[in-house]
Amino acid sequence: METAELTAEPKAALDKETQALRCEALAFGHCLVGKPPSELEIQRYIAAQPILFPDAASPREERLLAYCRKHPAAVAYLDAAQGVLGPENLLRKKILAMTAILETTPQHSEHFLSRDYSRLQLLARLGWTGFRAVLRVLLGIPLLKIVGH
Amino acid sequence: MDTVDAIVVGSGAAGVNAAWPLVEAGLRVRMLDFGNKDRHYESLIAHKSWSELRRSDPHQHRYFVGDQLEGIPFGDVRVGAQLTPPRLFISEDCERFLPVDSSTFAVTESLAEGGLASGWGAGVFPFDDADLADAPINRQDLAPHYEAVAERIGVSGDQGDLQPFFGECSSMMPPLEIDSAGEQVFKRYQKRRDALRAAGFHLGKTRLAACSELHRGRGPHPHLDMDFWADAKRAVYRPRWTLEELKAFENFEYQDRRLVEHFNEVPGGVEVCVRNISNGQQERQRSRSLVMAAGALGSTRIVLRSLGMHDRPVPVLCNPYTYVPVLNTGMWGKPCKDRRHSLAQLTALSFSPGDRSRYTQAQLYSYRSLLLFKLIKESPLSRVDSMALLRLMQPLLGIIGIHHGDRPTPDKTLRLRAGGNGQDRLEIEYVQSKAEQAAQLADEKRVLACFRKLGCWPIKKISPGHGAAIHYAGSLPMGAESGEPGCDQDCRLNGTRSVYLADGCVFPSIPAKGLTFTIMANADRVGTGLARSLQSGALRAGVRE
Repeated sequence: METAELTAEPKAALDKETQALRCEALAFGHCLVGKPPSELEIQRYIAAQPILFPDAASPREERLLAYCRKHPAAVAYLDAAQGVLGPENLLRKKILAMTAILETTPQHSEHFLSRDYSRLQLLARLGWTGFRAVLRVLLGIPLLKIVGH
Repeated sequence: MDTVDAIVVGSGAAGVNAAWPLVEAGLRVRMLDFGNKDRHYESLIAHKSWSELRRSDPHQHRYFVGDQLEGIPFGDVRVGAQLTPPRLFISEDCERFLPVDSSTFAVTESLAEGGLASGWGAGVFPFDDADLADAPINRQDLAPHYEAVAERIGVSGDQGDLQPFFGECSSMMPPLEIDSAGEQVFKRYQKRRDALRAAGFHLGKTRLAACSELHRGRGPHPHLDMDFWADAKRAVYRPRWTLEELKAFENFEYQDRRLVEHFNEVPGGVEVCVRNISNGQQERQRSRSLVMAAGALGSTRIVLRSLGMHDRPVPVLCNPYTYVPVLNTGMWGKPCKDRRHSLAQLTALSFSPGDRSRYTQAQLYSYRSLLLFKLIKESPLSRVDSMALLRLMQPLLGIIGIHHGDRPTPDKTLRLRAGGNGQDRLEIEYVQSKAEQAAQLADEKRVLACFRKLGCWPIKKISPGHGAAIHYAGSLPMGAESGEPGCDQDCRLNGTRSVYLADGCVFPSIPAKGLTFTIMANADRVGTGLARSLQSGALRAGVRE
């Protein structure tokens, strides 16, 4: 997904910070459920910021967030690497906030509610999900080293 | 203000059940309570199942996450993680009005109408003689009060393998339906029952303070899996149901927005000094007797202040607690019923082979209605991978909560310290001995080995810290020597004529079984005894029957 697509909303009226948060919401939402969140979900994400994250981001955290805003496809990799190397991080907290917002929205409920699978289906899905998770960590670590410095 | 027969401080599990026999005896009873309520979320939650709400309610984020996002946990694993946004009113205002200093003990108190039991897990675990060995009362003393309280609050359960440890309950309703995961574990237990019982492990459906049938206008439990969020059909017991019934009596008066500060005995009774929170005014109220039921820590604070016992150490107890996320392999590839309750599905008692008086209690919960994002937070994988993985694993996920008994030691103390600004503070020091820690580890190892045999494989053990069980007790124990802070076997406070204690503070030690139901039964016993004394005039003369 291109950055241009993510920032297609009316941006003239938005200040720089709100615009940045909007880009974050779009990037995180797309990473989590495979499509951009609705305007309402974006607004909830923006409204959550002063409550959940009242402190300013460190320069490193800001660099990571800026990279995610610019390259939404990198979100899952940076998140995976950060989960292994330093889980208490602003990027992961912000993605978790978006996760909570999406989980409690009826439109995305099916992404979070369990389904009945046969033993074989479950095994196959677990295998694939585990493989993907490990791959993301392996690819994410060098990317994090580059972006974080 | 006129003098009443009894003032009851607090509207929690102890307060309402101590008040009931007094009111029923026709005595004039006034309940003083801070009385915080949920005025925000209750009306938002429709009477629908959890999964239906998740799929259809556009406002669900308001109660699942909270308007101030208070349901998103960013800190370490918290005490009272089950206190969801609609339940957070339970601990509201406590930091301001009930300050506590401790680096070793996490405290959750309540200024809510209904007290801490507004978020009670509803487990009903009557004590036997061995559980009461350190107290000057026994099971027989409590038996009629267990029966009375069970009828009042509504109890469901079955006559399974736990029956010998919990005893008979004549008003017990059939058990609530257990969920698919609970069924799988229970089936495996029945296959291996003899071997497990021989190893000291006994499992059964949890006896719950929940109505499986219509009972006193409550229930039947609708199995919506919303028990952590709402009180559907009022099926699960909350003390406010009894408070509502009490309010229908003309001889009962409920005053909220009151914070009791201290009391003095005066000729003919007690004078209670109260702060009216609405206007900040001090009030003095008189009564022939006083029943303290402000929670173990709350009552102790008021008693120590009233007796001028600042800096005097008293014991403090709380069930040590560990919780263990598990994978229930019995659910591998099995369909899940949507109809379920969120409370403990199964309860186990696991006895130490060398010492049958030592045991742990474990309760098995299924993890669903507390939402995935709280688990995703704990995962080291990326959020999106954690989400996919946990969604697949969710039917297999369970939580085993393990409680241990607790006894007083010189390293578990509570003191009331005078504060610089005129507001005193509780100071709690709680350190377990190495022997206690080692015994608990051994007990946990044993109980988890039994659960493994039932297909429940531990993922990790989480110790949320001392105080996490929110089962406080032991600070003003029954049977304490006169002159010591404590009470006699009728729970009359030492050194007083007409002040009674009705909450957890009176138990000299606590077994692994949850305390709440026994607190209620003992409160009923205290109220019943006091009603007799007041009616016979014995208390007025300052003598006991």
